[in-house]
Amino acid sequence: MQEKLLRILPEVSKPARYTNGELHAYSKDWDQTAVKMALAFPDTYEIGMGNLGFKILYHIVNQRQDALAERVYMPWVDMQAKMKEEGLPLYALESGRPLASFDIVGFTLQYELSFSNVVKMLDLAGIPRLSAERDSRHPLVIAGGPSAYNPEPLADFLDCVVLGDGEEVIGEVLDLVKYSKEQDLPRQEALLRLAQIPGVYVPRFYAIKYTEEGTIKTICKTEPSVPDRIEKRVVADLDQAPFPDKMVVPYLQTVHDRVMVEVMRGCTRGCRFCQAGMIYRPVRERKIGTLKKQALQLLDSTGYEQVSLTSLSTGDYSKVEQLVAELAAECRLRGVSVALPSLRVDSFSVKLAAEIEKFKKTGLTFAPEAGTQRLRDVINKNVREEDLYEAVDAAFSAGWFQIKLYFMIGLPTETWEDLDGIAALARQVLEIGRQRLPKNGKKPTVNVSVASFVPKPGTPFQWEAFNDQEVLLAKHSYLRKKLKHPGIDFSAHDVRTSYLEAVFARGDRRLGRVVARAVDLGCQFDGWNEHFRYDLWMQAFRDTCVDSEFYAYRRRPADEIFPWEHLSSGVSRKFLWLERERAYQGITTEDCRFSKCTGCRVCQDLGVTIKLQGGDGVE
Amino acid sequence: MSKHIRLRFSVGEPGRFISHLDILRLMGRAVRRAQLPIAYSQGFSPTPKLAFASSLPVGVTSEAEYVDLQLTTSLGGESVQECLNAVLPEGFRILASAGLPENYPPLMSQITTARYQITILDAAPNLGQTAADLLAQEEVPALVKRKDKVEQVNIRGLIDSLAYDPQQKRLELQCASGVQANLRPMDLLPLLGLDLRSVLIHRTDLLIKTGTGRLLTPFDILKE
Repeated sequence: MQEKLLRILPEVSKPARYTNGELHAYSKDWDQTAVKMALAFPDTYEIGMGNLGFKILYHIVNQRQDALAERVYMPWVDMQAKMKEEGLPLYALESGRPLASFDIVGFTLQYELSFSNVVKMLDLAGIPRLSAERDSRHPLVIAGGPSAYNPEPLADFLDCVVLGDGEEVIGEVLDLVKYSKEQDLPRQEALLRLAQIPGVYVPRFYAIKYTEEGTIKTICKTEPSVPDRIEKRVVADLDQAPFPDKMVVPYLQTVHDRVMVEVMRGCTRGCRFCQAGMIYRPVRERKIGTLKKQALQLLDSTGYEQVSLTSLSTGDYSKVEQLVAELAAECRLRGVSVALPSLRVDSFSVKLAAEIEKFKKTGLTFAPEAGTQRLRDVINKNVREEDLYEAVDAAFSAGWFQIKLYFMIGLPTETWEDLDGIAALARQVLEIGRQRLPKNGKKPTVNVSVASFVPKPGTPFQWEAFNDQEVLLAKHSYLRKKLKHPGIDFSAHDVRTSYLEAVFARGDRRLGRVVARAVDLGCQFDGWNEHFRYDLWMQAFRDTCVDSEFYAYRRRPADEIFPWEHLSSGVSRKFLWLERERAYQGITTEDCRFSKCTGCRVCQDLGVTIKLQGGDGVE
Repeated sequence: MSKHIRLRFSVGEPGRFISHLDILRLMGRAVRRAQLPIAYSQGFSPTPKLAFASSLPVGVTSEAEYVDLQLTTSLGGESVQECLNAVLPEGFRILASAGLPENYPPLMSQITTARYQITILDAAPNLGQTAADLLAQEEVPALVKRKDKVEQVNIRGLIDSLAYDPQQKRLELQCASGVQANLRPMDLLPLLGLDLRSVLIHRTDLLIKTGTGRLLTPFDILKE
């Protein structure tokens, strides 16, 4: 295999995606290790290497004496062709062994547009696609990640799905797989035992019945011993949770190619469209001391030139000023820099950014999400117009000259006035730039980028419809016209990929055969413009007699049983519905970190609490 | 002991599969891991002062890559070599070192010539004759990629020598390499009826042609 590989590598693009030997990659003794897990990322090496969750799991599994984890990414199409020519199955990077020889293949589901790649990777590995076609001779195919909160379109392909934080549950899964190997348990028996682990969902033990209209009638378990409802796992004390002290340093440049430390997990700002803001609750912060130690240790072991303070909203870390000041001081001594990947829309955040970016000031990005206060109240994006103006004022004054503004269109209750609002904001931002920037220096530019709102499961907007494609396109041309102005650039996210995302985000098991058909027709890398084949997807829907519009365009009634009804992020359905009602009344909801409990039920039902380092978490 | 250190390093598997920019970044990170007192460029984004002799084409292994380091304190070449070898990833190894005088001219501008061994993996009949025929011509048109454009260029003047060793199943190539004139060995392959998957290319030397036509290594030239 190795020799064949060396022959084809010179002929493919970026061959270092497919080799082993990166610094800090593990190479454990295959024969001496009881349980072998392949961590599978259904996108390219460069994208997958930027995923922090993957790094954490890689570390945890490999810390164990009796287990090993190797990595595998989706080969680019040129490599797929060469592998096919040479008869090479998909292999894991570290040992070069075929995926089929592992005990567990664990996929991370980052978003719906990677579903086709999951199936394609099973094909490339020569592993039977369907769970029902596999037995104890095949790897156990599992999945986790944000899209695992509705894994139903992939239910037939997956043996089990893990909900929530993976740090603890991964060990329990490894223990059980080890045990079932030792005892030579049949697959069905092993799965029954896996289903006893809290947070582990085994789709085959749940039967779905549909109404004549096509909605779900009942979700019934078929085995008495499995839970009625699977609750997510949650790490109560993030500060004490395992975190790698070294990270694989790739040979070629990847996404987020720098040290990453996870400042906190969870966000309770409560944006009503945001799935991450719901499923990662509650907010748990790491201590400053822990973060500094982790950052410096990683900088030493990797030699990276930058450390990034990651989280859903790092500006909300309760001691962010102190953290940034202390870490930046340490980093300056070492000739490395600090990066803040997500900026809140306010002048405070800009000051923070200015603190660490003393020199290279080009672009800053803000996400007001909607163009008017009315619509921002609807989505609970608690940003005022003044906040944005103050933020960009501070940015231009500090020397930045490119401002990127992110908006979402197709939000519930949106009108043309809200689009006018986007144009007005952009023009005003540009005007502030013209006033603030020196006349003879760099000219200010504003990039307006719009994405289509996709209703996601587990959010207050899970009942909403995806905006009609024609309407979204009309909104694009309306905005393009309104924003035709020197100094303003407009770009819009492809509507058809968003449509597909909308179909699958709230899809049910009947979409499994659509995915299978689409892969047969050649669909893969749907998140990549150059590979996305809308026509083939539509053919797949036709061939399988599935109506995609039923999933995307339908506004769900209050009492609809969702495909993910038996899977829980801990946020109660009642709370989500209440939030939806408040959205339509234009009433905002405060962040429970700074105000009273909003009643989402996560803390009470999962037995966890908000953990802030400022010490002022509200009970 | 010197603040300026010249290193020769090798590139093997899987290092040969990465680009020159990747090698640059990789060495910078290794220097940081080794905690060497490297000097940084001034300006907006400080970068470690590493000056490479040449960029190695992707897919080619080498035992003759050179890089000059600028330090903030004087160190012995051997200790720098040792520190770096302790932290370099698979496929990279420092083979030799020497101290440089201050203000030594940049290596990249000096290199003129490279030697390659092209090992033939599959049967290639009459390769010796093909090579000799090629050398006998005055015009050797080859398709050469330049800045994403493929052009036809006469490469005869870039080839110093080309010979086939049937015992070793190996072509020995000496050709122009550097900022003035450069031949990528893979551009020669189609003219010999070969392709990338049927050969292994290995760089054995990077050399400097003196005014008198002698060929010196970047270490030898220091003794001149």
